[in-house]
Amino acid sequence: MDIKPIFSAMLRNKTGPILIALQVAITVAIVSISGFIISERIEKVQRPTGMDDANLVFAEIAGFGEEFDQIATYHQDLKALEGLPGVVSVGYMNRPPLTGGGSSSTFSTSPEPDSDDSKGTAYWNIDERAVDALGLNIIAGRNFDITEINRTNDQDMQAYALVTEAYAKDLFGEESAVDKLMYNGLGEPIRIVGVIDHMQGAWVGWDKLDRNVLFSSLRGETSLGYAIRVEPGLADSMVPVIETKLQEINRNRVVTSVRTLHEFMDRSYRQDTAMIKMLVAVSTLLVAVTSLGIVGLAAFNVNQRRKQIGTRRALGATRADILKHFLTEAMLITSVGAALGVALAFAMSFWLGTQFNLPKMDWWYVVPAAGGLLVIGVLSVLGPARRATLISPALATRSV
Amino acid sequence: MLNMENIAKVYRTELVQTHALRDFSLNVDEGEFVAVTGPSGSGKTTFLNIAGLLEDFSEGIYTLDGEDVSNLNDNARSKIRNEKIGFIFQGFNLIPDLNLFDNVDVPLRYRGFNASERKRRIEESLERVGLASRMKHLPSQLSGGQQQRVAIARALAGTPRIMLADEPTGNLDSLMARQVLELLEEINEAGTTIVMVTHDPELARRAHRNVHVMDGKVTDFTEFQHARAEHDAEAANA
Amino acid sequence: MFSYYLKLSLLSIKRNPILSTLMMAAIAVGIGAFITMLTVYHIQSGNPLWYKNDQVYHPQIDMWNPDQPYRESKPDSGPDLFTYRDAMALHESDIPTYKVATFKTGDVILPESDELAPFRDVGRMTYNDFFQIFDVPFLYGGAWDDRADQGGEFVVVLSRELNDKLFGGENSVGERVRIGDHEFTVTGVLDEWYPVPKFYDLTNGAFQGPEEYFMPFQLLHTLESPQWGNTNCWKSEDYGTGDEVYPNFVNGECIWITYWVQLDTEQQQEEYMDFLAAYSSEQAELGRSARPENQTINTVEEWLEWNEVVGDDNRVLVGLSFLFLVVCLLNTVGLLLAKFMGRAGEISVRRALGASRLDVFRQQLIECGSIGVVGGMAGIGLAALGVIAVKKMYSFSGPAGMDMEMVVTAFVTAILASIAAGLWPAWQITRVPPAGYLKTQ
Repeated sequence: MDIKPIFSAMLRNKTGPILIALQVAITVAIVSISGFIISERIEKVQRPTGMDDANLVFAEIAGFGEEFDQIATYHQDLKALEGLPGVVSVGYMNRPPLTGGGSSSTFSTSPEPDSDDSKGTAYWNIDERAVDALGLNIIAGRNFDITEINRTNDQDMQAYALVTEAYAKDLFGEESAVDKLMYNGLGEPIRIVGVIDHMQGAWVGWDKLDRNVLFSSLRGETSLGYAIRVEPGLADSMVPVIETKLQEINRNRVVTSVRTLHEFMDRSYRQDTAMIKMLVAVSTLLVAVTSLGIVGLAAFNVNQRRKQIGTRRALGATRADILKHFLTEAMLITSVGAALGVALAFAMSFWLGTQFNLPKMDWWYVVPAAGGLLVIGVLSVLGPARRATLISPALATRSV
Repeated sequence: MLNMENIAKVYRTELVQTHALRDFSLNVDEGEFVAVTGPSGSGKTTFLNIAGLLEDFSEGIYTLDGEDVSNLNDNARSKIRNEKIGFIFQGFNLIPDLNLFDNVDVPLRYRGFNASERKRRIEESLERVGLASRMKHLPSQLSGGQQQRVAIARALAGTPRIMLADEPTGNLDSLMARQVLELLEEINEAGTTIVMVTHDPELARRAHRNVHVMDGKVTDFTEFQHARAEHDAEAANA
Repeated sequence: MFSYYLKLSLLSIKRNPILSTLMMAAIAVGIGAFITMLTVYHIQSGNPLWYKNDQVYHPQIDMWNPDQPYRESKPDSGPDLFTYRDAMALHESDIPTYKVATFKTGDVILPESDELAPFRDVGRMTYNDFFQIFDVPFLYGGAWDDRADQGGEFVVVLSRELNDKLFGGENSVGERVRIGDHEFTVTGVLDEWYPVPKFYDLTNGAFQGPEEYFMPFQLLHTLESPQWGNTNCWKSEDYGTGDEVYPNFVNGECIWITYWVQLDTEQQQEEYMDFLAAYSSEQAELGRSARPENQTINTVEEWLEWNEVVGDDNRVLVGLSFLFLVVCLLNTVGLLLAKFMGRAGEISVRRALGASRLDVFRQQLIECGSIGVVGGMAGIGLAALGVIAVKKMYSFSGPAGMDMEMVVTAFVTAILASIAAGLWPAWQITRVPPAGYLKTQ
């Protein structure tokens, strides 16, 4: 098929093709950029948590009144929760991870107060059972011994900690962190007993999400939190069961929250999932609108050129030739549009980067966008083009 | 009524220049019924388009109803078309999704008449072509002859000074053609000037005067004087 | 003539139902997407206290870590919160018309009736000026008096919601409520109040509802009220053990208090700036602060901006949805062009019968306008659904949604957009030489 006559025909009647090319260009640009943002967000949302997140439920309680006894309540609750069918393992954790709330601090390898080489991390208080309940994986050292848990807010007791591998590297580089001391801002020593391969902390947007320190402590006078691992698939259905049970066994406190870890994660990633959904919606609609536009223009062109097509047929053009004519035309228009779109995508990505502090798009995201639009362009024109092939050569001689 | 002096019309495309009319002069008096004949491509349609102020021309002077209309802007030309000229086309050119009443209404709307005046004129002109009873019908529900009569009613409704007809019977069978022609003659007798373009000598013979166009120029008056004489003779014999 | 053109538009729409529907759908979808995103932006970028923007100010001073600014991205800015010590120093000033130190807290509420189990709720420690500065509406009663601000009286203001829960919506002024370890007397009940964004305390998310109860700020010492908002510290301090911990924390260098003032006149504003400057240099002389003197006062609008309440995501979406609208309009231009060109014959007849170019242009534009009206209305409907969906995705609560301003914006955008889309095709058709289309039909 010779492209030149088609091209020159397009140049003569340019408004329609220009409109389509512009639509294709904007569509390619938006789809590339959306695709990039979407995949980046999906990657962010799907990062491993280091925990058995699908099967974790967290319960928090707040005691009130003079007679509230934290340690007694703790033992009573553990017993009750472990007795529930469906519960695999229970441990104390002062608050659930991945909620967007938590505590952070800095620790150092040097005993000097507020030392310059302090490194930031989130920190938590847990008991010796929590490692199993959370499904954490200790890769070096050991878990806490029950005797190492500070149950009485005793300021003088030796503090013990588990740290994530990422934080251990911050402090000690390639050296093993096991049995080493780290110091808080006041210069108080904390003994590291083990290293966890990975665990996500409090704030999903924080670059130190994988830096976590777990202390062996039951601190907090009136509140308690439990990490409860349940049998696979039961997390959602166990929530009301756990809530009722906790309320039943002790009326001297409030069950403030019983939620699955996935619920917290959904909330923490809400911005991201909303962004994903909206970008998918906008991109899909955009592709639909653009392909409808191509169908519309092609149908209009076929109608306008009925006579011309009839004449071509009368002069010996086969149906395949007519089909090829329209497909080539569509290819040309969408190619020009897609090329423009690729340029636009890079320009927009650059501009967005300067304006919004977004990461720069990887160049290859334009490939599926431009390629996809080319395919859609050709598919869209198939219908009208097929109708063009049905135009009778006799039309050439009719003067209607 | 209509006077053209040395009109020239040149079409230019990138590659070629075509002289559609050259040195074209014609005078039509008030009350005349003139037929313009000539072969395909002779320029007779161009003449009619220029006469109807649908097209510009390159050179010459055109006076219509005593007014020089050579260099008017679009608004003024539209107003003259609306008030002074009635068009009749070979293909009738009725608007397919307006009923007869609304079709005749079109020029009256642009004229700015009020509703009762428009109604009066529409009914009167449809009455005149014998289609008053079918006012609410769509053009597609009528025969070709009837459609052309509606087109004539539409041209008449604005009481034009001159009617321009382009092959008015070209798409009609002979019986219908005769009816339409009789209607035109009736209108002419009532005082409206008519200029009709046709390549049908039969039809041309019915006009008061024939003008033959060839290669964009008016030629050979004598032959038409002769035709006119024949026609008069026939009329006398009848 | 307008009604005539309108009638012709309807006829034309009826004649080309598929093409017309496509155009309306394109406009509706484009407007729907764009207005949805714009409404979300509008909600996020709203300033509930716009009418007091030159009166209400959030002061900032910089007593942060001498070695590094509070936010690396804002090196010339102090923190967004105050230490207790600084807040109380500011509270000494008599320059502001109203002044308020406040922070978020929470406690267990123990209802009288046994039917209602004890529950934990979120509250706010604050001064009575809070209700004045922010024009908080009362359903019953009012704020506590100035004496209660000293912290010696157990008084409380309830939200309408909490009052509904505890007292079934009755006027509870003078009634008693047990919160934590103490009994409180209700002095007032708020009416519906849901500022979006929650401008007066942005530290825990700008789109949460307000607190359920309000108590005199100075009660914090007696109640040892926990900080439910952000607490940030740059220095490690030893708070000791037992009963020493809370007072030591309160008097330490951690920041956790939000501070607002109302400065009605320019003179007050200038005097207050001088006051802040004097305080900063005094603290520097005392050797407490080694930060540059970064004191300033922010209007509510400036404060919302400082806190970057409108997310980048939302701005990006507004931009992308605008481009989407552009694509929909380009599409409409193409469809209109096809539609109008298909009508060249009729237009030529009208021209021959005396319609001027302007007449034809007007007729086409009115047709575009009426397509725009229908598309726009459908678009508003889509946007209303879109806003509901987006609010659900973000779990925005509260009444905020499409207000009149957005409805009008949507409508005007739709009509302007469709007329803009119609200009080129309408112009094109007036340029068609009528003679060419009259000869054959």
